[in-house]
Amino acid sequence: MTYMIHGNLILAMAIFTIGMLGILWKRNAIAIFMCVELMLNAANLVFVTFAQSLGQARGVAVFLFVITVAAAEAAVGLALFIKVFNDKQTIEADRLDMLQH
Amino acid sequence: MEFSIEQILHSLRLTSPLLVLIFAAMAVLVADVLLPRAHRWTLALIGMAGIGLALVALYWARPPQPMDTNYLELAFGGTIQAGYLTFLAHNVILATGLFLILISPNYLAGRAVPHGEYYALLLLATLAMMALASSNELLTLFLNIELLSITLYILTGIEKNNLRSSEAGFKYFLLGSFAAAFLLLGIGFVYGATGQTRFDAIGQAIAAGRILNPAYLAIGVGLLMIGLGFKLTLAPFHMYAPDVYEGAPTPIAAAIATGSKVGGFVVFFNLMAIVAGWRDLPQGLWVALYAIVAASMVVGNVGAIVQPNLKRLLAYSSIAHSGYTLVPMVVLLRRPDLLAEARVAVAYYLLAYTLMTLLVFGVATTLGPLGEGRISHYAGLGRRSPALAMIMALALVSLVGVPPTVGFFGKLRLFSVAIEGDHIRLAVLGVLASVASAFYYLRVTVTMYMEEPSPEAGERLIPAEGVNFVILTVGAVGVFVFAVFPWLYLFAA
Amino acid sequence: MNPQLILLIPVLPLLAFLANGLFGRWLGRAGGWLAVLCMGGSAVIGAVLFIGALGGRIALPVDVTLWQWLAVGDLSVRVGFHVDQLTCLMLFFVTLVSSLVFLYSMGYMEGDPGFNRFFAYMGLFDFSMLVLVLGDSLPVMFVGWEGVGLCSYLLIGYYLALPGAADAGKKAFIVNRIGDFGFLVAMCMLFKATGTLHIQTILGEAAAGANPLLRAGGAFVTALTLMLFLGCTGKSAQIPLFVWLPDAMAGPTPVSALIHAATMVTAGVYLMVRLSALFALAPATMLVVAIVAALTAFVAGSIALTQRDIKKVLAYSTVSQLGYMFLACGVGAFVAGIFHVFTHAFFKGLLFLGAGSVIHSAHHEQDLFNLGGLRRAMPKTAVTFFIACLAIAGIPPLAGFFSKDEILWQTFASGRLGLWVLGVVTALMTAIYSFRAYFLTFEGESRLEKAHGHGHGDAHGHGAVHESPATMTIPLILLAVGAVGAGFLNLPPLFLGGEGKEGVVSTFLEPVLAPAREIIAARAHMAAAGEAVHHGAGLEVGLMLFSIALAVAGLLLARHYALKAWPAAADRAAHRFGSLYQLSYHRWWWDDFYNLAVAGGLRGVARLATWFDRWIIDGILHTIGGLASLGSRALRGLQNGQVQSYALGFLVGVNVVVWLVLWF
Repeated sequence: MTYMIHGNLILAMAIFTIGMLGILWKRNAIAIFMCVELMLNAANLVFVTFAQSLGQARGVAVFLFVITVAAAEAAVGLALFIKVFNDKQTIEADRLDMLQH
Repeated sequence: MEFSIEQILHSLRLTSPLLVLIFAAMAVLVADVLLPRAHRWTLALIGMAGIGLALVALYWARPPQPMDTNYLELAFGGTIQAGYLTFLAHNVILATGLFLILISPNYLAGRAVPHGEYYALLLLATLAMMALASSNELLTLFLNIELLSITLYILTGIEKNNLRSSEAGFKYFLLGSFAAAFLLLGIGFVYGATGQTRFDAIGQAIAAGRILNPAYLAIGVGLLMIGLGFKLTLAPFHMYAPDVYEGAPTPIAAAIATGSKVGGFVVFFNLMAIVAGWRDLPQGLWVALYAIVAASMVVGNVGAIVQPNLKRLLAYSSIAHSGYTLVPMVVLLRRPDLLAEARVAVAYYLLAYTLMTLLVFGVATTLGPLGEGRISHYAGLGRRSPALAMIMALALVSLVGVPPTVGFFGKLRLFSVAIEGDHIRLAVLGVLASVASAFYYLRVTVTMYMEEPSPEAGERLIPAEGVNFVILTVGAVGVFVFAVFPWLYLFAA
Repeated sequence: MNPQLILLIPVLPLLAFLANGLFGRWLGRAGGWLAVLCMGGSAVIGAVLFIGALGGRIALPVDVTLWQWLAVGDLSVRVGFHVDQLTCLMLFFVTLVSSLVFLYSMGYMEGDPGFNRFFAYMGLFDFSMLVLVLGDSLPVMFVGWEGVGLCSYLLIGYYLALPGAADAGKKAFIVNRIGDFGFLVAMCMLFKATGTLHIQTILGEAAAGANPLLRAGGAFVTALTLMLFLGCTGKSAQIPLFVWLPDAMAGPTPVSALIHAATMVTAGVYLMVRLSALFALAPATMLVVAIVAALTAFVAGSIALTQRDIKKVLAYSTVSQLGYMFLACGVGAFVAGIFHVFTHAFFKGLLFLGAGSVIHSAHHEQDLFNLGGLRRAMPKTAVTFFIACLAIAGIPPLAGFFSKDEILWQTFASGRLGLWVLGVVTALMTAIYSFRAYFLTFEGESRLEKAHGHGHGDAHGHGAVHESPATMTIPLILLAVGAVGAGFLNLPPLFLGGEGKEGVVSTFLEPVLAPAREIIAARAHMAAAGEAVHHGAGLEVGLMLFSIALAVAGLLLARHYALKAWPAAADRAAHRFGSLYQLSYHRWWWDDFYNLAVAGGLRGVARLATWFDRWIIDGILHTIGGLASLGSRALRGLQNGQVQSYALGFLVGVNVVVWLVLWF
């Protein structure tokens, strides 16, 4: 059991890290957001893992809530991206630097 | 878990202010649809009514007198709490919401902002701030933070044809969701380490030593600090703040700077209070928090020194003040016995900080486009609008922490807790940082009173009239009143 | 006597101050008369008090406590007055001479644009002086001490348009400050020793001899009294702090007469006599006092011999006479010292007022070489001036003889022969310079027209010089009476029938000075008992005749050098004693030395301090500010507008936090 948990956690951390690196690497805003979703899902994986090991349903419930919230967030985020695109004709993260210093 | 009717009614009563705000938000949206050509004040008035009712509800559900600082009551199966700190925070948040709604109509006039959505979202944001302060459970915490964040993301980017606003919303969104992921991960680890998600249950588990894996708990708490630290603009998670404050519409920047932080401080405090009960608390957590607080005070104050833009300056200011507010919590990790003093100190500073910052933002909002840009645009304000300049100067002086303002007494309480808790160096750092802050705060005052107005600004006199002036004056009076009569706010102590 | 009446003594001059200060513009000349009246009233009360006390009709001491002033920690100071025999004596002559000077000023200051300002300052001065004398605790006394210093400064610089007057005022104030420092240190030491600053309590402890810090001959009490003496040298113009007094002559002559001759400068002597019990405990200090005093008397007297400005002559004369007073105190003859204060007030005041009369008539000509032959035009002034010279020279039966001779006798009797020699030589010099001044001013040919050119206008009549008005000559006459008669108030035992029969003032002051006397006597007993030399009456008479002879010799010498064979004989003497003459004429280069050493030294220190402040302290500040600025710019630069940079910053933070959590 412990072994399994450790394995899952390592997987979750790996996904989390990939997401982090992707955020730094990718230029396209949508790609960046996808990496954020990756990170969120990695966290979800942690929840589910612990739910299983502790034998509680709570972790899974959390997971469901988080998915919902993430969806809502994605909707808002995409709306913002569209607005930005309408204004600036680009959603490349490095091109959006009017607010600086 | 059984749910009796009494319990449900009791929970509803404790959360009635939140429910009122939900309905108020919906009412605004409905009104916006039904009254398409409404006067700009109509929706604001509905919003005000909503907050007014929420205040009534808040006092209907208030803690019993005489107020005990350790008061705590749970609702909805323990996911919501109503306590002393929460009650005071709700007062502050509702006042903030009222303030912002009142100054918004004049600001929004002439801007391309959809009024209905704006006010509804502002009310929902206020709701989220209050709910965040009332959180007693990890999932609730996450949900409330997300609710708050999402409404604020939209509000930040809401202004049409404003490139800065869009970009600010964009950055806020990306970085906010990035931080939320860390927060979630932290929640996961804490859950995994204790098997509980309710704060009180976690507290009991920690105190009793029923920790399944101390390493996970430590990591989890650390990640929680990081995730919440984003919301509270603590260094080194603060980098979004100058850009977002600059780009967002000024009342929204005010909301981000004050209200959302109030909720965040409360939940951060509650978490630290729980963690303090950990008998074998790893040194690292205390060191990490100490480092964050010290870094915030330094970055906040040093960063503002050469800053020419007022709203960015206020961002750095809020970074520093977050640092100050967290000082009692650092102390708490080492000295759990100072819980009551720390709680009162933090509660008082919530009011102090919110009041001072709202006044500055309020003046900036009242000045419209002039007030949002460079500080040099404020030149000569002392002559053109003595009332506004005086209120601004008063707020700035209070931010520095000069007696007998509320800012001074707030900092006094915070640093007293530090000294009592043997964190002398931290207190000294805080004081030195406050002294350094005098430079950039008073630079604005000097600009207002001792420089000639720039040619673009002209010499027009800004009339002292309207709702804005009334609430700003009330706020300015409050700076002294709450300094001299702290019990008006604290009810106890 | 009603204590309220005693309170009136300082209050009346204060009234004059307020009236002239606030309403001078409307009062005009009447303000001056008001001041004269007030001062006169004080004088009347003072006289009644003194005479009553002398006759035993008034019970002394009288203590009046007014209010609580300071209550800090262990220190409690009440404002109050203590009136004993010493106080009565001081009050008497201070108020008397003051009122005469006020009357005189009505004539001297007539037409001066600052007329009311003058009387306001004079009123304030008298108030301060009387508070000084009346005060029952050291802080109260210090208030008066500082007050007279302030008024001295204000009045020296009274002539606003006179270049150098302001500098003289500043010099007086600054030099006095050094002395005040000594006074303050002594106050602190006294507080440490006794826990109180009430004078009578302190004296009681000194006399009781139980206080370990106030042990006779101990280091603490010696240091304490030396500090007190420092204060005295400042206020009473002794070496090394006497340099301000000659410069103070820049003020109006009534000021010089009252403040710098009769009253303020005697405050130091008063302090010493008042605290005589303390000084008696420190024989080392008394020796220092005596030596310094004798030297001062000698040096000042030698300078007075060659000065050309009549007021400067009198200024150095004052310094010299003050030296005599301190010499008396230094050898333990406190009564003699105070008595000389008393008589000196009369004849020195008279000398100054007479000089003022001359200056006033001769249109502010003060150079002796430009005066002469004024006796015909100003007979009253001349006669009174001559009487004063007789008094100061010490020719019996005028006052100066009795007081100065007593001092010399006491010095001789104490065994300090070196000091006695200095005193005797100074007495000779005193006679010479005083009569020199008289002869050069009033006798011989008039050199005035030669200096000023002919024709002051026929409106003035023949020679513009004439006798001064009655307001000025009446005080001269009254003071002359005092100069003649005051001496009889303290005839030495020799004239009264032998040992044990003391003069009036000696007997009068006995209760006040008894503690000091006892302390000294006790010490004398403890010293080798066989040394008690008993000087016979014959020796005393002999010495008395000797000093009279010196005085007469001085008169004759002055007559020769300043009248009969002037200027030839004087010039020859100046050549013959070339270096000595230079030494005297250039005032022993004392001022130049101070300028160079003290002022120059301080200027050097100031330059160093400025350099330090500008480069090091400001340097530190600029560095800190620069660092802050640098840091701020760096932080600002980090915000480059790129979201991903911010995310990177965030991650760096995460890294740090996680490592901190895991490492510790």
